[in-house]
Amino acid sequence: MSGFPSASTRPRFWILGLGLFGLLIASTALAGKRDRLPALEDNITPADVQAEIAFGRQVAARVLGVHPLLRDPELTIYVNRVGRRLTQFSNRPELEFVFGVLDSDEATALSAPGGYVFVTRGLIEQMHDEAELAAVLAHEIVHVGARHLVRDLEIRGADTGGLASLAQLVGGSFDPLRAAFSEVVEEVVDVLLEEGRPAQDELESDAGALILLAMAGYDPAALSRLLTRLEGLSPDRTKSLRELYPPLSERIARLREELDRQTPDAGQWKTGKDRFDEQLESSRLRSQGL
Amino acid sequence: MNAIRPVWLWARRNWLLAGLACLVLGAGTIRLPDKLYVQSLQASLLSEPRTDAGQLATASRGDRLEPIAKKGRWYRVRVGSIEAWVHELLVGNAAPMSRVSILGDDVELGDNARRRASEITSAAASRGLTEAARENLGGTHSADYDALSWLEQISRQITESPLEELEE
Repeated sequence: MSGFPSASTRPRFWILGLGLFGLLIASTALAGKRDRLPALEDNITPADVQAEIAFGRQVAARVLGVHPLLRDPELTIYVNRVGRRLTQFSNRPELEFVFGVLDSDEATALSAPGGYVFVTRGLIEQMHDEAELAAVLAHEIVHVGARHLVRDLEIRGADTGGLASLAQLVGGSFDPLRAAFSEVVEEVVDVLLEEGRPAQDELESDAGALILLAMAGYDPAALSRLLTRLEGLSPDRTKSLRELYPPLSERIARLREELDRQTPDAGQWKTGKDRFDEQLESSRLRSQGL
Repeated sequence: MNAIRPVWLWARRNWLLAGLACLVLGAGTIRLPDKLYVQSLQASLLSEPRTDAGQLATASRGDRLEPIAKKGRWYRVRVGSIEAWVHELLVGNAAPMSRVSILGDDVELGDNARRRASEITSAAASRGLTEAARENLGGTHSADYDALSWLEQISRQITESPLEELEE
């Protein structure tokens, strides 16, 4: 039975061959799918973007209902300037990003679809320089740019047909649709504040943040530096960071690997420390690096 | 039959290996987009697929690049006579959209047609995107629209500026 296939085993050979060919086609298609860029995979229209912003705005308002906004105009303008420097390198030029500071002792950051990015006072106080602030904002910008939450919820604009679109859900004339929209908003707020995003999305945003930092001229090591410092912070001030994200040790290890790959020659990057210290002093925040 | 099956597989190991090789090659085959468009304001075109590689040229938002290979998250692209690497975060497969806003005075849409705010407002209102509708959704989390409006106003005070050098 160990020789060349007999007449009775030949059909099995052809079945095997056909199976392999099918797998080859499938794997090629999957490889192609993985390569799809945000703009490619969904063929996003301006109506989709409007729906994404309208939805994100609802989520952002609820985040602010839970964590009060720190109404420090100078600090807010500063954080927005740093954010704008980064969004110039974003793949979503159609979005107008808005950056805000939450008045919370807890060290965390989050973002809603459409470009609403928040960082807490507690996290800013742990930072040593502007590059670390940029690192946190860059991580969130990558989440928004990749449409992580929107893609998972299949939120679409008005013209896509099929499932009820976001714009249809917002439509005020039908109570069931409005209730459904409200439910989706609540669902995303829960993901942001209580459940956490998929680990893969967080790791992707870490890696993307490193690239955005480098493109904007900031020290790409800033994120791993900040996360390493946060590892030593008391659990009550890092609850979200420990419960809603992949383990800090894993994130730091992956960032260091990525740094070795992306920037083997360190040295020419900026940290913006003087400007950061000056801003925090004027806002009377207590940076651990001062 | 239990004894026959492993022998049969062993005898066809070359075919199986060839099949596996096809699978590996297939999985490694990346279907490249036909064209890439720069989405970021500027994109460095680099000599190597890493951020500290030498800069061969700079592309601007909307520039069209021809992808010829991909390595990790980097595309090798051809622009004129230059071949260089660009990171996937900076590009997309469609021409960049103009700014879209649900708050703004004027809203630019994808085909660069500029629509008056009133048209957008009517379109939004017809779909129920009015402030009143948006603010009365109910739900378990309370919303703070006042804080959000304050933040949006502050943010909009910052005008777009060209890339500045980071001072140290």
